[in-house]
Amino acid sequence: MITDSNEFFEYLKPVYSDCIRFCKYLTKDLNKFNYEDVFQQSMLIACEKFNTLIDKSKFKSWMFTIILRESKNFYRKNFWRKFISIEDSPETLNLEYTQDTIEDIDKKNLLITALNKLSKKEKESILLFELGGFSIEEIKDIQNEKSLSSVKSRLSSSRKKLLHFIIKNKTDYNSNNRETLEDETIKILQRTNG
Amino acid sequence: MKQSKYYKEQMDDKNLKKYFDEVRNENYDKTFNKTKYFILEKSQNSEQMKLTDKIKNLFLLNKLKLAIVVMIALFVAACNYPVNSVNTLGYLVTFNSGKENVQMISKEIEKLILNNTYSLKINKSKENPEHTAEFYLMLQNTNEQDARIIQNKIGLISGVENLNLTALTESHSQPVYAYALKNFLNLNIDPSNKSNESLTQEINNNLKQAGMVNTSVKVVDDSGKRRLILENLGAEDNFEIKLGDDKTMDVMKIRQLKSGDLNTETIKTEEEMREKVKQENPDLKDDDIKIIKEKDENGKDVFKVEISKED
Repeated sequence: MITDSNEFFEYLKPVYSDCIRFCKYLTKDLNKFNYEDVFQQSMLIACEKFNTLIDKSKFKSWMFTIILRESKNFYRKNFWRKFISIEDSPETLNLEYTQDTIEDIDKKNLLITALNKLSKKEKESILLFELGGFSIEEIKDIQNEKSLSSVKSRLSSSRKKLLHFIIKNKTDYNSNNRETLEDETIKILQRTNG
Repeated sequence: MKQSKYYKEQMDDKNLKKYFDEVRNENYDKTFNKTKYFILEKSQNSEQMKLTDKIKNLFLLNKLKLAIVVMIALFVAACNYPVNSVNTLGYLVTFNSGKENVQMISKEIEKLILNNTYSLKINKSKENPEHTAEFYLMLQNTNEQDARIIQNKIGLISGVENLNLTALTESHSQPVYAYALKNFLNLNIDPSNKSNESLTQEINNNLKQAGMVNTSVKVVDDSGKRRLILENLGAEDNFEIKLGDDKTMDVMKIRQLKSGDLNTETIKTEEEMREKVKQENPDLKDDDIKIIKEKDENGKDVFKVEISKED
């Protein structure tokens, strides 16, 4: 496995950020879940199973399939995680992205909330398309669908739902989060002052 | 009009694109090396980890699951643990009298117990065979209270001495779950190539094994079909017997309800109870339901509901 790991990381490097973004927006429910756990587990599995991947040109879709499967496992196991004490929890990666402005954070939180209003399949399709950059044909294979039309119609309805939610909640969301913005400003000032 | 719709869609797409662009701008390349070494370290640790450590980790991470599995296993094992249960088969009243009173006492007993659910045996006394007779009166299908009433009445007959009442019990062992399910037995009987007599025996044996010793059923022919007839019903015995295949099936379902069951506190009459049973079982017709109102040992109203449904 060690001999193949360098090759694995060579393949991983170009799609690394795509994988994190996909994993983050697929599993993130306004900080209720730790997407790093899912990402870390997916990477470990991918690293272990890399020699089983025969067609290396399909590395990206293979990686995304693993992330999808692990996210499902994560949701399923989430119930049991509540009973694991903090000492027993394994050490996890920290991939926090800290370059966002307050406005960016608002936009992303609104998008996350909108994404979480979609069904699991809809959310997966739109994220594979928008963040993974996969074609409809590739999404059909990743999601094990029988026809292209089902993926197309799912993508179209997901877009409509997302837009509808974002337009409807844009103003409310910002006003509701005014306190958070103020808190955030105070925190930034405190950090600057040391 | 079409143009404005197209324009709106384009605007919407742009609007949504802005949100995804924000996400696409997130660049994690700086964390690549950190992730690489973290994953390498983790996978090396996982390879080097001893079997005992792996088992330890498995226990630590799944201890609640394991605890639940162990509890379920213990519960299943406990359910299969045999327990002894005692069933009362009947009551035996024994007494002595002078030989000259035998005929008179026999007649008195005949008058006393009208439903013929008894057997009487009279023997010569071993101690004084010339002058004394021993009576053995076996009472079947009766409860202790009724047996005591009969004992008291016998005690009032002149010439009766050394009067005793003994409960005849049968002790047998069965698993806890069978004991718990005793209150409702489900039987599916295949009647093919079997005579009515052997079917009757098979059903009654099953009832007896389930602890329903006072209940008996008979299988008879009726217009070319096999039918179930209830001969005796023990107190608190509940069961469902299905005889035959889908086309010729005869079903006998007996569920005896007390006033407390099915929230029947407000139910006073048999008709009200019939309505309640139909409410709970909408597929039943009036003919399928037989209701008998009785008093229990405490003087409370008890409804006996017999459901006989033919599919």
